[in-house]
Amino acid sequence: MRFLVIFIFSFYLFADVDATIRIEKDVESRSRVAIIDGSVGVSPNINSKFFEILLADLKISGHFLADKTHYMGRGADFSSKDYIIKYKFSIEDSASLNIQLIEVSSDKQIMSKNYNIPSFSKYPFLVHQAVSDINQFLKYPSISWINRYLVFSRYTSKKQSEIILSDYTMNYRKVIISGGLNLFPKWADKNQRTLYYTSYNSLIPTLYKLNIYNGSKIKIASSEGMLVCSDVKGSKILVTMAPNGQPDIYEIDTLSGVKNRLTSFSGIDVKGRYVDGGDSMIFISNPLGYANVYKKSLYGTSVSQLVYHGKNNNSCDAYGKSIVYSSRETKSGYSKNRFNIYLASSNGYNTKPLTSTGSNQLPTFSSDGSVVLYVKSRGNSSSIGYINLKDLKTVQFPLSGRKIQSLDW
Amino acid sequence: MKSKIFIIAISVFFIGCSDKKKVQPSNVTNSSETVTIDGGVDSSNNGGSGGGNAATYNNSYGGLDGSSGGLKSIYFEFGQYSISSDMQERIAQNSNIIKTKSKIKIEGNCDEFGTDEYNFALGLKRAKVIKDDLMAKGVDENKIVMISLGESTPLCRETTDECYAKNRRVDFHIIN
Repeated sequence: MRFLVIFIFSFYLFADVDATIRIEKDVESRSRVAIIDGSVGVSPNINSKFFEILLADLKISGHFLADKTHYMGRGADFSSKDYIIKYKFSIEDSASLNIQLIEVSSDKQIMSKNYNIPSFSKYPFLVHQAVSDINQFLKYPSISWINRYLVFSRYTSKKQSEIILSDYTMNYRKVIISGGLNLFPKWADKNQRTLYYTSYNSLIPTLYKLNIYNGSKIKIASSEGMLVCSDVKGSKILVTMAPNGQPDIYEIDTLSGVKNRLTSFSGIDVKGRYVDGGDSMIFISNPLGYANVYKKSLYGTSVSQLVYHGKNNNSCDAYGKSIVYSSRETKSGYSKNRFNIYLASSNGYNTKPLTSTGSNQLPTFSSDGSVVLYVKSRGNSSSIGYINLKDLKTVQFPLSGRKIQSLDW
Repeated sequence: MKSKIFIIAISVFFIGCSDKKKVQPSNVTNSSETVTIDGGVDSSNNGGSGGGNAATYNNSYGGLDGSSGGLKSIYFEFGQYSISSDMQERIAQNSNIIKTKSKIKIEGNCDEFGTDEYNFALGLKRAKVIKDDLMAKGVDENKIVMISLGESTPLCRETTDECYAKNRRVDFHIIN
């Protein structure tokens, strides 16, 4: 018995998994679904990718237990399922989708919708919208975050980068800014019509606000050394800038242009994130000689340390009264380090790990705070991962190309 | 352009009138979704000789250097922004050259470890400590422009400690 306990404990401790396999609960609250593909004339590659995206959407919602079999007709026994999702995907000049939801117990079609998107390459958004609608029809908590754009920057060569729009799975990608060094994209409004980014193409880094629908852009600020927009709250933004060569966090009212310096430590202060409704912020600083997560009121001077573990905690995000951060848990500063993502309350309590293997960085909350995005690296491969905070389900999608520099969604 | 937008708007209206579900990203139609901006380069404010592509480097440190104009790069320990004693001679040599120039740019760089904003701040702290040291050696503050490039400008991409060390540096470029 003792050996069995030790074995089980060891298996748990060294299991090579993230949160998804460690915790399986609430199975009964999820709807069991089978998926039947009725598409005609779609290439096997696209068809397969479509099905994978559909499965991922259902899984990360936390509300469905999807059968992974790619059924092409109703020949199988579906009596153990609650619902059948039947779809017909077609590609002509545009991408079209018909989705039907069939209740197995009554064998009745309870929902049917048609979708169309002019650009074929955007077909992943058809899937996301359809799953979001099915989820809403069955009265589950909203998963509308899956319909949102991800925006990220990545280096392409020395002093060269590009800013890219994608869906959350990164199956849809579109370069929107290329040429030169343009970094740190950050959505400027909830509807994702405008974004902030920093141009490093002149002597002085300059922050612009770009309308992605018409290409117009306005200059927001410039600062010698560095300039990054870290967070947005209406017309106010938190930026890291260095007018005197000293990187500090400022709040800028983009309407009035008024700048308010929020930090004055002589070391490094970066990555300000509004927290607790916007009266306070968390940020990364290094008063102890390494990067760590701190918190301060926007209107006061006292600073509190939030994290008391890890060798280097240099990335964080906040939503409401929750924070996520990445923590280096190995001594070496180099490539084989283990970085894990942790979730905690905004006062630093109730800390729990969300990942357990590899290098996990850039944790970012979804727009509703229900899901955390992160970039995972293991060996020579990397992926973008999502953790549903309610049931700790995860999905990951492989990342190709250069390392992601910064992202927002 | 206006007629194109009008046609698209009309199309979107009729699509919206059918029984088809309007998918949000489809609203990003042809004329607006593919906003491709050509780098945002302000040619009137470009960085002279130091603002463009990396130069060919003659003055090497372990075979690589990122500076130009006879100036030498300064290297740093992992995660640090203090100047080590073995770099003092290089700074002294650089200061003598810089005093003869009217303007220089110093660029702070990092290795690939750490993340985005922190690396840019670390690069800037490295540039700032060099600027302060140059000023202490008599260089006019107004001659110096600083910028952090984070990890965007590696000189070496091999996965070795020696290679990473070559990317933790401050480069110098003469503007005029």
